[in-house]
Amino acid sequence: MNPAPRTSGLARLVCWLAICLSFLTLAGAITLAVYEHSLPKPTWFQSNQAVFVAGNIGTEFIPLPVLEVLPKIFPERFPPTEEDKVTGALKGGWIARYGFLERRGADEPTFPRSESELAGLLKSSELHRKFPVGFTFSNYRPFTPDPSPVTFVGLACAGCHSNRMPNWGPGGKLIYGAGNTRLDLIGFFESFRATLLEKEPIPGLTANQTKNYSLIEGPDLTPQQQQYRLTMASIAQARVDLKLPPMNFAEEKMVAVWLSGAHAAAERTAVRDDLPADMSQLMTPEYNPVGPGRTEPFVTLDHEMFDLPAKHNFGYSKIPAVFREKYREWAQFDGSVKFPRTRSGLAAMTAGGSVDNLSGLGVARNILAAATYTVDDLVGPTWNDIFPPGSKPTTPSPSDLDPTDREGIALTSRQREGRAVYRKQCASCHGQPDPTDPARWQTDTAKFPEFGKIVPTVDPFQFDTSKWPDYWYKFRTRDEWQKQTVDPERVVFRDGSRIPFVLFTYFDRAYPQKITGEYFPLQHPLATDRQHIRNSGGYINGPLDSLFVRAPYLHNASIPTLEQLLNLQDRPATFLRGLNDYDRDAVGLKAPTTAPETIKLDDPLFWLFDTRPKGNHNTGHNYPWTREEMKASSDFQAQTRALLEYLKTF
Amino acid sequence: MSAEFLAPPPNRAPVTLVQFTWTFVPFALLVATALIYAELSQNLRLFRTIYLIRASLVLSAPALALLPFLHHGAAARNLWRLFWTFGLLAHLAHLAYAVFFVFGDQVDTARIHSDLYGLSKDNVSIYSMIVEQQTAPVVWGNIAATVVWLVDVLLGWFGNYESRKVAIFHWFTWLAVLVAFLISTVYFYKNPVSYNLGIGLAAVVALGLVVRLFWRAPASNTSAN
Ligand code: HEC
Ligand code: HEC
Repeated sequence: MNPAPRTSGLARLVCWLAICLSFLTLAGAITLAVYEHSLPKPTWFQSNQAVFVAGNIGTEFIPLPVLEVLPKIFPERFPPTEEDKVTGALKGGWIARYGFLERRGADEPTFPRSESELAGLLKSSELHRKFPVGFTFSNYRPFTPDPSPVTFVGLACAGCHSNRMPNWGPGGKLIYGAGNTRLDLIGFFESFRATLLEKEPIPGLTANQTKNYSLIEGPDLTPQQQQYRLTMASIAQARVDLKLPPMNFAEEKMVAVWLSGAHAAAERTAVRDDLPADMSQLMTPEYNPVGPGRTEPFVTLDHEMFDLPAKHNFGYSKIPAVFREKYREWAQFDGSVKFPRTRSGLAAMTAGGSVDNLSGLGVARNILAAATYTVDDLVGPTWNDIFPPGSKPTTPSPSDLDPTDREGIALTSRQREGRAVYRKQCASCHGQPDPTDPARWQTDTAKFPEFGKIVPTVDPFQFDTSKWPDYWYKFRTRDEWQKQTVDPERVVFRDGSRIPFVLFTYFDRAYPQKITGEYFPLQHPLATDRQHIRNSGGYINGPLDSLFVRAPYLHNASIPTLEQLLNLQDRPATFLRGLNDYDRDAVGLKAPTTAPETIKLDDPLFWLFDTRPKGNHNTGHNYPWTREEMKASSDFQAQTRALLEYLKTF
Repeated sequence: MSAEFLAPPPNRAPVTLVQFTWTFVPFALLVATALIYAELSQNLRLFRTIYLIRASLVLSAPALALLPFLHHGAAARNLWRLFWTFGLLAHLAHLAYAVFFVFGDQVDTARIHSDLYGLSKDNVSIYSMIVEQQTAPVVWGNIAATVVWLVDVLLGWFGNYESRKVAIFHWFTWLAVLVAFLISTVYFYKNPVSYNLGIGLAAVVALGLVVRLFWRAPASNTSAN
């Protein structure tokens, strides 16, 4: 047997070198992992209200040190804010421009009242006091349940689902759960995307090189002569200029990783989404067809799921109020998702969540807690909660009033007249306030047989009536359907026939390989049954509680006031949106119907809602009478006026 | 023939620097890569777990292929022991990540919303979550395979290498680990990468067996050079 061959000195050296290098690599990787696991875990709120208002739901999109300097680097897109002397809150600037609700101190009266944990948070956390309602701060990296040494900023439920009523003036009351009627979410995220794509000349070019070539053409710059405006250097410089503390080593590394990933993602999706609109374009329906108070949920889904441009999706959704969700077995305007956890998970997904971060470390828990809040606790305000008492004169109940009719006691005789109209014309579909306890909504389908049903917006008569699903409201004639059907785009959007299944598989563990390319093989807390997600083919008959808060009306927010919805007035073909005042007589938003010659960037009303393009139609829902019928009959008008008075009491 | 498979190795020569290098370097680099490459994913914990088991598979593959050659020389035996040990270490790191992070991190949520994890309120633990995900036979199969593997590695280093019982135990573990890898990658098809790794493993091991069966030289008493 031979002795082992001797290893030469050189070979030994190579061996030791390889061992040392690989050992160091391994030690470095382990150190990184240990460091990551030692990073502070996010804090979790106990009260569901605090979660709804400030809880992290997986929507992180920008590191705090970067958000803080955007106004310095991109003042045209993120106009600088000012700091309130008393409360320290940021206001004006980009916060006003995009319609976020500035904080007004820890003691601002809210509806419902802030419970102790939320009130305490606003007292103790400078960040929550400073940034707008519904901003969250967490140590998560975007799309992941992974720890980050730098704080990331995202939107909580209340970032979309809260508003000030009756308006945003000093007297406006902050309402948790109402839809933000001013929020220009698309504008905001387009501008954010622009910060990642915009370039400027590199330093050191001569004046000659950077001067415009002509009146029309910009400077002749090669790609090598340009650089991103948002760079680690420009961020660091802006922090110095703003006298903000510099980032530490770990924060800087994290931001650098985020920035290069965000640049790459923005470049990749620019092929799909085109270049972001500039600020004045964002005020026009051509470039920002969504406008304030609305989103385009299926464009987002098309982007996220199929990586499609979705240029032909015109499904616009008003940001809805989410009060008393327990009365909505099927939620969303089209009644497409059953049970709160599914719908909230989907909401967070369209707002930037991923299968990974929505599963992780309590984000799922927050979503479920927030959803539970909307189901069990959150009740909207009544007219008297918002408007000074006395604005709704009450008459003593006549002696013949039914003693169990507690609702009736609070109604004027006019409103009681209106109630009779409502019960005859509307209650079968929408349910009604419980006469014995106006705080409850009656949904009993024995009494209100159409409640919770879907009013089809796809033409039901193209199918054999025997094939209509049970949950469809059954029109007798096609003419009747045509008279009542509202804009269909929110339901018939492209890919509407395959999105429910794709969304279902996104959270279902039997489909670990997601259509997005993500891979998630585990049980997901937001998973749902296939039967609990559907394209319903129409819009759902839901409760109308706190109705005056829900303006502008219909799923696409195409009708500013109840008076117009009920056809007591013409429905305006165009109207201006932005920071609209509240119209107590017409119940809804005061919206001038014609735009001035020029709209300036900081005008409160800046966006022209045109009801003619697809997705914006204000037709249909001609209950109780069409505009023509109404005009022709003073009796109809009187009845409907009474109805309008009654609807104020919801 | 089976007697030859179970024949004791020629001697118990200590691990040489070159042997250690050939095994430790892949181990360290694969595990470091698993830990770091996961940074590019959306889910550090999940993908560290996934990449670590892939590293374990790749490191175990040479050991599984080498077992038939144990009696061929000290080099084969040492390489087997080293790969087998490093494969196990990667596997243990995988288990730790899965148990303490992937599942462990969800326990708090599962306590509040046990139904969403398919569990009853008073039966929420890391163990019950894993069983719900993988079923009890798979979980216990994994635990058993891990324990057997651990014992086998210890036997590889400290056991009586001439003992026939030890040799039989080596083959038993070989089978257990091989089957466990193939079931989890090929049978429970999860994704193309792990499936192909499983197929690759099967191919390497099969190749080892074929070579061992048809290529008889060098025997333990002839020169390896
Ligand atoms: C990015 C803005 C945004 C965020 C953040 C957001 N939502 Fe929504 N939410 C919407 C929009 C828009 C809709 C309407 C979708 C539709 O039906 O077209 C909606 C619908 C809903 C509905 C259904 C309402 C109904 O009555 O049918 C519920 C419930 C809801 N959201 C709850 C939540 C909860 C809970 C959270 C936090 C976990 C949340 N949302 C976060 C924008 C948002
Ligand atoms: C056939 C069933 C049906 C009847 C009858 C009906 N509605 Fe509706 N209603 C609907 C549906 C469906 C929607 C949702 C349409 C949408 O979102 O675009 C709706 C929406 C509304 C809205 C808008 C809610 C919001 O959040 O924007 C109001 C207000 C309303 N109805 C009031 C009434 C009144 C008042 C009556 C009685 C005069 C009535 N409805 C009769 C089915 C009905």
